Amino acid sequence: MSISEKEVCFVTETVWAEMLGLHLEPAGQAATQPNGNSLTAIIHIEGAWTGAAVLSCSRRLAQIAASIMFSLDEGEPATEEVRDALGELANVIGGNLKAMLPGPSHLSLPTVIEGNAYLVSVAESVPFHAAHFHCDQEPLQVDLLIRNQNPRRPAAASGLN
Amino acid sequence: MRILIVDDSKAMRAIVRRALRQADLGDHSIEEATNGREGLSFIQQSPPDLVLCDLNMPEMSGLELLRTIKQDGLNPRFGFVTSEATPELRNEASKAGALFVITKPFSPDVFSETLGPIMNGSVSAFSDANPNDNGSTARNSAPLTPELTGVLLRDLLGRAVTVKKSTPMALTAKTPFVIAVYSAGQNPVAYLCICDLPLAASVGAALCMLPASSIQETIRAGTLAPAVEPNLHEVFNVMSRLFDAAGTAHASLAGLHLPSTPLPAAVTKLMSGPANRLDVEVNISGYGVGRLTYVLTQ
Repeated sequence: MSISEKEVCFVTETVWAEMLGLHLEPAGQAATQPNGNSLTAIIHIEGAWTGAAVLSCSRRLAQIAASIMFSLDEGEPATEEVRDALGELANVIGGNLKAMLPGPSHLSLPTVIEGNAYLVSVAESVPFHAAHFHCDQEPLQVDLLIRNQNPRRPAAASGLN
Repeated sequence: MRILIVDDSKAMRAIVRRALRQADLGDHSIEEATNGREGLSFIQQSPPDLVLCDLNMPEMSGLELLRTIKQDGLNPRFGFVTSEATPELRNEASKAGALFVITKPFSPDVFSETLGPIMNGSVSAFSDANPNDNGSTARNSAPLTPELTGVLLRDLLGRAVTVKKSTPMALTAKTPFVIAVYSAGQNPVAYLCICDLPLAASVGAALCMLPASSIQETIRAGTLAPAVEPNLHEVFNVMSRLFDAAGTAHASLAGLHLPSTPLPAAVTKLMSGPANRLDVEVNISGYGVGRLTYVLTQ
């Protein structure tokens, strides 16, 4: 059992639609580089299939997601709420991708990074699939990384810079 | 009714609260715990009526929490709301005593359909058919029904499923079927579960969250994608519980025959001969309609 890029896109679009009620527009890679602060949430899958699901977006999109998840009609969500919301979205996407990959495997708790012009490196992993979207004119990227079978190859870099 | 939500994500606790409200399940007091250990402390001090619990949490996982409260003799209605939807995990959850598993993301409709019957006490689906604390199999005295099929498939797939009796399905050699063979006692071919291709494709797609369009591709090809087979195996394995409810000897999945594989003579004989049958139409929300025939020799 394996997974296609189309399925990564479908899972992401479904999670975004059902949890947030937002539509994702597929986008090319070049079109999904945000300016300014961004967030990245990482979920590791460890077991019969080992790798990571990495969800990256602009701070503004993470704020929109958090506002919807916390039902905030006005005012900005707190920083912790924004990070929690993105981590949970990554957890749900990662959990659904895990169900489509060879098992048994274990899902880690999410790690969330926030900053400006950073690279995320997941040790011994290489890109497997990548899905790029726009949502409310903001970029969103989902990378599925797989444990590198050849340790001489470089680690996968993801995130937004 | 007092409901406890156990989830390490504040955002998800907010979403579960909202779904409970939108599911129109009446007025309830809702409390929250941020991990399994905090949930355990809450339940030990003041057991709630219903626990909605995440699986993967720091400090103590949802499964550890459920097993601990069972060991303590506490028995609130308990179910999981989780992003991890593999059949193995669902099986593990039901064995531990969970009444249901709801997969994230979910809609308020799923909450309504899953929790409504549990909250009003009319359904205790998983616990009736699950191994109990001492490891022996608890038997449900209810006969095999469309309703039991619906409850089991809904819990497995984490989405709304309706099942109703239908006219007998024609079991001809030219039609592609997926056939699960169950043994029971000394009988190696005691029960059959015969699934038409649209239903097999829908179940496989719903489990894997594949787009509904993949079902039409499967039907056109006349056979299932290899990736779907392990999931179907798990589904039919769990469905053996339905035959435990119908008979006396414990049923086990003995074989799964895809459309391209030849059938043993004992199976074709049972399909063509006189036998007890139940024919149902299954509608999986968002995926479509298919048909299922149970054939029982006992």
